Amino acid sequence: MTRYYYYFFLICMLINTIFFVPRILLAQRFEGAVMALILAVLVGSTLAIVFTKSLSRFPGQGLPEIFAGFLPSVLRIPIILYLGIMWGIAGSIIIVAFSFITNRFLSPETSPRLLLLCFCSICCWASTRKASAIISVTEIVIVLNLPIVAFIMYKSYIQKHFDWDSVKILSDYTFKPPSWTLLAAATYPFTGYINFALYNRNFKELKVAHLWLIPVIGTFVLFTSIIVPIGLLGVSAVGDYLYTWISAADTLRMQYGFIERVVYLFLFIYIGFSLLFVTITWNIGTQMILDCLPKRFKKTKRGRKATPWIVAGTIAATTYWFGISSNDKGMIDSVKLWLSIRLASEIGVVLLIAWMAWHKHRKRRIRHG
Amino acid sequence: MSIADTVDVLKQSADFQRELLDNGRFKIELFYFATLCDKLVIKKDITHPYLHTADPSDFHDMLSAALSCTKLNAEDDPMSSLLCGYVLIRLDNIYYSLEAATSINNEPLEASSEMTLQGPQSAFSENIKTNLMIARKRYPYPTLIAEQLTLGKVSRTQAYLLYDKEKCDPDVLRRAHQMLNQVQADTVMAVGQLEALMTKTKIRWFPTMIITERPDRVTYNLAQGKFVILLDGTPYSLVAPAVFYDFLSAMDDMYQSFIVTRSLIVMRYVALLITIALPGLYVAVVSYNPEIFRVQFALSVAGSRAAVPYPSFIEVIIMLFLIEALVEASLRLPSYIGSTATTVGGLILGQAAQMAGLVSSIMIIITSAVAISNFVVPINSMSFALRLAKYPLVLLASMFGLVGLVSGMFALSLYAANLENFGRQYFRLFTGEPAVAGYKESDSN
Amino acid sequence: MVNLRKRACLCLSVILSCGCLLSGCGFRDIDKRFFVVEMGIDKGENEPYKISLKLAIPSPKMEPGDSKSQIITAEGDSISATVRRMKSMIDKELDFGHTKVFVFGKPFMKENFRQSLDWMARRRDIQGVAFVAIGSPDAETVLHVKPPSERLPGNALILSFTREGTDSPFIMSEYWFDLYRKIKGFGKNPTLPIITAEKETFDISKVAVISEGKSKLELDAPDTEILNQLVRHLQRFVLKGDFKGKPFEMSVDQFRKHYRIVTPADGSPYIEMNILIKGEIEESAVPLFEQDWGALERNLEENQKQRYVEVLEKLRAANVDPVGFGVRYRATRHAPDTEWEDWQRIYPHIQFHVRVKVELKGTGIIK
Repeated sequence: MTRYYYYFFLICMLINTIFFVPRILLAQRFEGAVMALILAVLVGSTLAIVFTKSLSRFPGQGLPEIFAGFLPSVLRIPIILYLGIMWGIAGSIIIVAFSFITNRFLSPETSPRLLLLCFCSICCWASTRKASAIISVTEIVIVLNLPIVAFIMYKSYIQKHFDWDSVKILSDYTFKPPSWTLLAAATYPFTGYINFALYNRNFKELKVAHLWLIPVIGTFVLFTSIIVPIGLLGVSAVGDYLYTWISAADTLRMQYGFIERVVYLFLFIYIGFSLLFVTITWNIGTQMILDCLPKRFKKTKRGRKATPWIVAGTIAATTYWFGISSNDKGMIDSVKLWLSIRLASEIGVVLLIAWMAWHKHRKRRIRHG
Repeated sequence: MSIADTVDVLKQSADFQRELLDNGRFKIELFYFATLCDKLVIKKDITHPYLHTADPSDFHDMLSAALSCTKLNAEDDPMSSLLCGYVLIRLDNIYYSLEAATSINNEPLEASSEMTLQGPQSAFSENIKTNLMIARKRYPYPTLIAEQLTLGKVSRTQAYLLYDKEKCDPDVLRRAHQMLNQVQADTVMAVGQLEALMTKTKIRWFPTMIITERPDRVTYNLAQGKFVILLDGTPYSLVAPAVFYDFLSAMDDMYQSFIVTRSLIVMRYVALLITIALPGLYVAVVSYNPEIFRVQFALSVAGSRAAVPYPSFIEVIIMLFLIEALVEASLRLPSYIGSTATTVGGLILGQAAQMAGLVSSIMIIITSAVAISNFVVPINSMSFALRLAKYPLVLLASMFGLVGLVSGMFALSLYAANLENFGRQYFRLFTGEPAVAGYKESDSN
Repeated sequence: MVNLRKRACLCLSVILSCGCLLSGCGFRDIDKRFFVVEMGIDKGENEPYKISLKLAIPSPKMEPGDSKSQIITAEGDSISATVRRMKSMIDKELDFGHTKVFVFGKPFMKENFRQSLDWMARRRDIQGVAFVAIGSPDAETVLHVKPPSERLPGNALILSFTREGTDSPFIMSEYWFDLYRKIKGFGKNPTLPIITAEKETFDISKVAVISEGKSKLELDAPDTEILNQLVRHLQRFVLKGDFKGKPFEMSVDQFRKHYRIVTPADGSPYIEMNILIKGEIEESAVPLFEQDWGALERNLEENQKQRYVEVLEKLRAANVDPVGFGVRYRATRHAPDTEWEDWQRIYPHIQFHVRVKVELKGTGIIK
């Protein structure tokens, strides 16, 4: 039980530390990025712990059910719909970003539309699978790929060309206040816990041991995601790169390995991680949106089979259209906007759940007291 | 149908005997299939006592006291029991049926499709009673229940559903009964067919029930709480519910030492990966991303492909097809042509094709690696299912390169994880099955 | 019947669409690509750039001395234009994914070459771990060199640089990513090895220090060895000493270096460097086992310290800093706005206080 919690936590950490967090943070490394990291560890861990403890008071219930017990329909449906859409956007961003990366590094001659179509269809199919299947595949993907990630991190730190002095230069800029976007970008990796908003249904109870691991792992991974590019690419040059971690991985070389350039190993495992992440987010998003539909869509047997496909297909089609019509620059701007909104909504959801949990606890105390 | 009508229908067969016996005091009439009945049993149980019985009522008593002899009512249809080797005895218009079936093929066979090095070497036989005896001898626990079933409208194949009442999940049993009740077929001849008839979805790929001929595997699975279906006429039995890990475990894993076992299991999974992914990897690397490997390797691959005139995925498809044909043919070849086939396969397909410039030498190595690794999977049905898994991956790899390959593997694992049989998950990393062979943990992978 | 026909139509349309998907896929077999293993960038006669590419010709057998390659050259006013021009000279697609060595011609390095780096940085298929070097007399000559024992085209240079082959103390190989970050950053100057083309082999024993976008200082072989120790922490090299007039050599197993930049409020700033060397005697004119090892060590220390200070002062005189003192200064001082200007004032006058400690471990297997 504990280990599934950490799988979701890890997948969110690992995905975000290569997609946007380093790029956004390093673009402003002299203007408050380090402070953003420190604050993010605090804020992220607090949100995670509060959410987990509150959710453990509602064993076996997902967010829609919890809300149904406290809020009237008029409030509940827009909130759940909004959350479902946010989840869908999270997955869409990763798909579009990843198809850009694939197009750039692995298959430059393939038409980007085709790649996007391929990813969108696979993830659309994958997000209509059962939740238990997705949870099992999460376990498999993470357990198989985590040693490789650990190996890459180890190799990057041991590297002879790693310039610790460059990293120390950055310590001069620690005490500058970060902007909201920076803080939002830095807290995104901690958001893995929020997937339990729906997957709580599949577990009998949410008892997570060793919660202190969250800030520890979070600090390590977040700082690695900033320190390694700086150490390998130099503190001034690192701002030039658009895909920081991929270029940083390109500086590593396995002298005796079968694959000489570590960047391909890196890309190889990140294909798996991205597909997994998108599957999880689209699955949750689809389920949430489905919950908001009127009862008659859920009743009929035939309709029940087709409706998830329709919702997932809509999300996939929107993502495809967005992916075709956007370019590198437009995408990063919309991502920054989305991240800022996301942090606000995340804090809102956690507070809401915490209030409901406290309410239930107080009701039980009154009843038994 | 009344008994007289039954007899009328059956008497057209030459092997249906209808005998009127007369011992001087009273007459009895016997109806039986001479080919299905053991004449010795008839002599010992019927004719011999008949010789010495004076009174019909004594003979009635004797028949009532005989083993496996039941009195038929007027409306009972003796058709099915006659066809199973029962003898119909008519005495003063009262009918009895006595079991006198003869059995053939009841010697345990040698295990031919699943070998172990140091375990039991004999498998089940083709007679269901012998099989049940073997099973019960190895599992002499009182909670082992055997339910009898008859499957197939025409073939009326006998089957037994075995399970351990304490260990088996009642929900699983309920589903099993449901599935067996809905089996509608004329003939049921083998357990593979039974598996297909039992599952609802028509288009299946991975096997969800284990087909095995080994009594030790059956015993092990019974102790784990699975149920087993034995079918008459085949030494193979059906074990369910199964998880993916079961298909990749051989019984040898429990008979060897810990480190040896774990290494073998790891090797099996690596072989699984090789057999699925290697052709796709070749196509992806050769045609999309040759810069993944070192420059020396890339140049050597380029050199070996220099003579080949067509693109890599056509080369892959040709070689894979030839290997599949070779494997299929070697299953059906008579044994005296067997060695010729291996020579043909090895020399002609391999060496000569490469020298003629039809395939590259690297492709030969890959094809043989794929073919050999495929048979590392211990259970045949899974091995055949996995043979198919590489084709979609080759297709995806030839369309998208490395990305297609990895996405394909992800989709494959998600598909396998989504399968469910008997309400349980099929494909997980840590299955948490009970360790009944004494090892501390029986996790997979 | 209608059902069958509908299904057949569906299958056919799926297969056909797969077929037309294949065309837009970038499917290109490995034998339709020409791998560029080395690239040379020179100053052209008529145009700013003259690019030479060494293309590998694969062969089924890989025997030593059997490497075949093709070299094409073209001139243009930018690297990308020239490369595109060269595509029409050959029959296969150019693939830069395996370009392991980039050679800049020596005349090219005399002027500002920062502009040429942009093409290499922007392309996604140039390896970050490719090697960069300077070719003497120019890049094209270096590319034309084919050592008789080479198994694959370009392999000789690659093996020398990656230390999989030779492990010479005079070769200071430089990775492309390292060059880029040092050029873009402040505080450390990149060094590039100089490949001198001889008749059938190379001589890579000199190094050039780059500053302000051009080659500022060239060091010859003995100085290169010292610089290799200071910058790359080379572990295996040889120290010279003499005992009562008789020379002996010590081979080093372990080398460790620490340094501090000290800027006292009053007085001149200096760099305090502590170096620890451990090794064994490799060659000697007289038996040394019974002699006073302390004296031997002190002799070696004195010699080596002199060499280090010599080279460091040479670097300071040319105002180049390959060891990275500037970066260390910026890291240890906490005045982000002014530290770089301060350093540029301090460096031309800085003193070097070098302390070498030699530990002798043995004298080989004889006395």
